[in-house]
Amino acid sequence: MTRVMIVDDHPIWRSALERELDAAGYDVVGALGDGESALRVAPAARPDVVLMDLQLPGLSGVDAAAALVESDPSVRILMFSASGEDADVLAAVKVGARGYLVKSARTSELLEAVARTAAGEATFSPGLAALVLGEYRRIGRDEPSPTAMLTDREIEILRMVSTGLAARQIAERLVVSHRTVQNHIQNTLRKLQLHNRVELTRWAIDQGLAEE
Amino acid sequence: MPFQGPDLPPVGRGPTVHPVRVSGVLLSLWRAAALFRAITLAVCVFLIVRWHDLYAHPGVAYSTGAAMVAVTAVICWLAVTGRAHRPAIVGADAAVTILLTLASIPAQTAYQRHGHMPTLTTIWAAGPVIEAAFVGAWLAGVLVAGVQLGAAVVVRAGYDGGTLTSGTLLVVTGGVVGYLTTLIVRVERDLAAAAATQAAVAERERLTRSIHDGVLQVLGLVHRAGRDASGSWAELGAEAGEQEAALRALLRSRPDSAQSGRLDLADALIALRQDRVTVSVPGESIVVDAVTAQELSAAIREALTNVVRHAGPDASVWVLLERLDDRLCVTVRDDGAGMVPGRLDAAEREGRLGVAGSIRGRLAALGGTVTITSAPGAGTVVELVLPVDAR
Repeated sequence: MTRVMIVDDHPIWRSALERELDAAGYDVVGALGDGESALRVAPAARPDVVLMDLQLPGLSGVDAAAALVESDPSVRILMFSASGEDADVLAAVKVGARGYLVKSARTSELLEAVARTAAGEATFSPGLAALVLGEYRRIGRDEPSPTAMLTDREIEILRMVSTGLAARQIAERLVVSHRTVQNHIQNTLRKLQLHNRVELTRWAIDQGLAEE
Repeated sequence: MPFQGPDLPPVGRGPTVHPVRVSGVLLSLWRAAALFRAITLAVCVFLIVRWHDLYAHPGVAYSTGAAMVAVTAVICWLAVTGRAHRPAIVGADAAVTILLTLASIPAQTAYQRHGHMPTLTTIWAAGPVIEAAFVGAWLAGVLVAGVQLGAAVVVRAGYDGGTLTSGTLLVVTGGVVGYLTTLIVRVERDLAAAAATQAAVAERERLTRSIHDGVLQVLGLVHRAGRDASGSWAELGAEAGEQEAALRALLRSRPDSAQSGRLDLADALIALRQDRVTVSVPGESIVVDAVTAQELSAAIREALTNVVRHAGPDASVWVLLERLDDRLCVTVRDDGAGMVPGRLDAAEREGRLGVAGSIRGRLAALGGTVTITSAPGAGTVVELVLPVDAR
């Protein structure tokens, strides 16, 4: 049974999510109100999927996600965000979250996203694709010799996802397999997370926090 | 909602506004000036009484002393109650002080006047200089000091080292006091404005936290529950969702954005989100001038209206905002019925421009272009491209 942990500071949301996941047959191993408790409980609770609110008191959702991935790289984090928190969603994805879901999503959409995340697939919504695409565009503008670049095909696919086309529709249009499209999408995310890691290391060296 | 600070007098070099009563640091300065006037009066009266039998006309000296007491009493009373700051009052004070200085001519002997005794008003005559510096900054201070110095020179029928030294000190005092007063008043005003801004920001944060932890969570839950329901419950949920989005946008908006005339285009487009309208933006803010943001949003709203009209009620729409090196690109794609190729061109040739023409007009006014592609059964894609200055 898939083990799910819920991190949300609002009791009404926690209990609603717990009820729905429980009814769908998930094993809810924890429902916590802040990032610090989540970090404390996670090693013992060993969740497969963590459903984490972006806005948390104290340790932010982004920082909590980064710390969880740091201590266990296999944990799959699905961020749960309100509309308009796009910059924070991007930050969470860069530190290793597998996807995000808006709080207004239907129960069916929530269950599907949790199932996909548990299966190791990135939940690539149009919003997430646009964030990833926008971040590559920004890197392309800001860095004289960008260390993270997309191929023309990857840009094409991200734009298609961003404008609402499903992987199957994209595969049809480009006359490639569904699997190829999925791989391209996963690649864009993986490269971005790698780029973020390199950036952090470079920053740490600049600040004298790490050995070269 | 634009931020409104408390009513503050205009800053800068505009015409000086004189409130009925001064307050704050200026009132303290005026009270200090009143104290100076009283102490110097005591010195003058002491000298007149002590030297009364040396004067040519002691009666004139005593009368002058009595007049100085009266002037000091009036000025001190006005200053302490914060009402001495009118140019007319300070001007009258300066004029009377000059007359009283000139009264030294009949009162004193020629020997006394020519450098062997101070004038009757001596240091008390510095009072109007300081008051003028309060009211009219350094220039007024220097001018009144010059006039008082002139009166002393007339009494002495010429000038000597002592007159020049005390005169120079008086002019410098007028200038320095005037300059410092301007500076202090400006600092006080800036401090008050900063404190007011800080208080407004703190209050805003408090409200934001409270709304975020309460109302927004409930609206979000109602919205979500409504999406799994049907009928009027679904409508209620959609309404709650719209209110939630509007409230979030309000809390996110910068109080100064309206005044600076620049807006975040991403925020403006996020406001267009609806149940069937997915708006996707990059994580960075894309700040453009307010007119561009409003026109572009209006063009996108028209494109969305167009979708409802032509693509059918069940069509979904996706809006994508991209910032490229030298241009902004907004893609509006729907999964509706689509159109036969050339139908739009035909409509434009026949002069039936409709919504598409209006979108083209708005973009052309901003220096941008519009591309519309469509096929039956494959939906419609409207692409708005707007050149921006490369960084």
